[in-house]
Amino acid sequence: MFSVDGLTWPYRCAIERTARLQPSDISGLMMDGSYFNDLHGTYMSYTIMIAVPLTDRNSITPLYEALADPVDGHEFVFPYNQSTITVTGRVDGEVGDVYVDLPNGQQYWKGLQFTIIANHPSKQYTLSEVLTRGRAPLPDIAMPEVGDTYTYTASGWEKVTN
Amino acid sequence: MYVTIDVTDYTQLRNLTFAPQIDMTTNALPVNEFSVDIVTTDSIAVGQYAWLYDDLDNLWAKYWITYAERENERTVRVRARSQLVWMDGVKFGETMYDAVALETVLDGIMVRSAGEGIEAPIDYDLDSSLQSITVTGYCPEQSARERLQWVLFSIGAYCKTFFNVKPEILPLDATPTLIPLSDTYYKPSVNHSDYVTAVSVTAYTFSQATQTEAEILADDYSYPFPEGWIADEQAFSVANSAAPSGVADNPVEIDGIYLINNNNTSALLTRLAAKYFKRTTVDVDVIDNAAYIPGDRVVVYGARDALYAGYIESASFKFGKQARATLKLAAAEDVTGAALDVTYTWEGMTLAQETHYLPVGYAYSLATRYLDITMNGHRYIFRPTTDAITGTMPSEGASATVTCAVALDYCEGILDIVAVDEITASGMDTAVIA
Repeated sequence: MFSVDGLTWPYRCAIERTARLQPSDISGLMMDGSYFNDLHGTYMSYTIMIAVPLTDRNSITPLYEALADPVDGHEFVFPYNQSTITVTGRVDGEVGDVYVDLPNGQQYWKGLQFTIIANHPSKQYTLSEVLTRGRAPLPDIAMPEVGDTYTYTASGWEKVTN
Repeated sequence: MYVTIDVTDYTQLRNLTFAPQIDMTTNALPVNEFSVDIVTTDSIAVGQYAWLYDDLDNLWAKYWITYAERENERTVRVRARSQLVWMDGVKFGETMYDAVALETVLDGIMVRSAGEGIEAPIDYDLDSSLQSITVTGYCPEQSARERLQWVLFSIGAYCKTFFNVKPEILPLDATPTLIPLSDTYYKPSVNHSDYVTAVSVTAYTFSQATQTEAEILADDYSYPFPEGWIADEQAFSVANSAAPSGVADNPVEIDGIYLINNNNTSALLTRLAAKYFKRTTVDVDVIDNAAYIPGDRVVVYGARDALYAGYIESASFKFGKQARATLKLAAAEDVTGAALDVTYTWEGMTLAQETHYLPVGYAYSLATRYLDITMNGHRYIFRPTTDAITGTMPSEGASATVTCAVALDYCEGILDIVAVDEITASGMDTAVIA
């Protein structure tokens, strides 16, 4: 379901994702009552909660060791919409799990949980785009003529040709 | 933002500070600088240029690196200063100027401001409006920066050392630019300093000494002027008529600048009075992608219905995707404003109203906007039939009407494109019927 530096976690896990629209320090309230929203970009964040299968308790060890490495970041592949996204991300602070020592002699680690924050924005506009984007209330389409028909698709308004 | 040093562009920057300033009386000559932590393992040496650019590749500063120390394994702190920093170490002997062309004087200062390991001479631009000025008077032994400061002070010019590859010698901007309310952060701070009750300057007229005078002066070791010259000193002052009676005496006195003479005293007094008699200062934060810089005269909103005009003496920048500057306006004064009422109409119906408070006499050009209004089960996109409202603001206020036309009409799943250059709304089939 996800991988770290090419190491794929082969079992099921819970994944939460968050798209954080990171504002800069200069965002703020303006004198005309509007809010100036100066965004660095959109940074993806993933929280993973892993249930280690009973049959493969030790499978968590390489993943734990990789995540606990004090490095700038790892290359992750996570689910994204109907596909996947590859991000260079960092572990947000800590990687935690719980040691279990049962009366029957079983000893293992469970409940590994960690959060990854992308080091780079997955969406970002150049300053030039920021200055022009979002200002005009209406996106451009070709000038329609009477009788034209348009349909809205994932890529925007498209003229239907007969 | 990014910094270029030698041929390397450094994009990973932290703690970037850049706060250029000028002195509107030109009585001081700030050496501006920027400092930044660069994330790099490169070694960065002092004694070379660092170029500061924004994301649109506009140059903000080309400064000389005077400090570069590794903060840790990953970052180097760099501090770079304008070329004026070179001038402190260059000493000039005493000079008597007698109607010497400004350009000649400046060339002398800039060319001399070359030192070991420094590119020289300092290349600079002189504004065309200043080129006919001549310099008369005496300068004692002093550093090149102090010499330049004396010259600029006497002629009323300032040295701009930002947003250009080389320093520029410029007069203060006279035409104010209005900073829109929508570019102004909430909220500006308007302050008032103590009254200055008068400004006075001492002017000096130099003449050749007679043989007798020269012999007398030769024995006076404290005489500050060169041998063979006599200085006639004359004090000029202007009282602040706006200062109420009973205010503590608080004059500003300029003495000992021997480039002040009858040619420039009047203009100098006017400049000093403009600075010191106008007690208002305004600190205002604005979105500023280098549109408003020190030396500019601007009109800002102190409140939604209060306007102030003044000179930007400093602009302290903070950076995000765009840039925010804290502008400090000196010698600010109230500007009379009036309301411009704008009404958007469609077939006689009022769709929207808005009011803009603008300076009287201001030539405005306000972009009109599209309106998105739902009524009677229809969602209409109205478009203005004019792109902008233009005019000059009269003192009694004004009104303007913007006639709109229906661009889009959406009702019960059908979007009618009535008249359109552009389109908004999403997620439905459309048919053009008109």
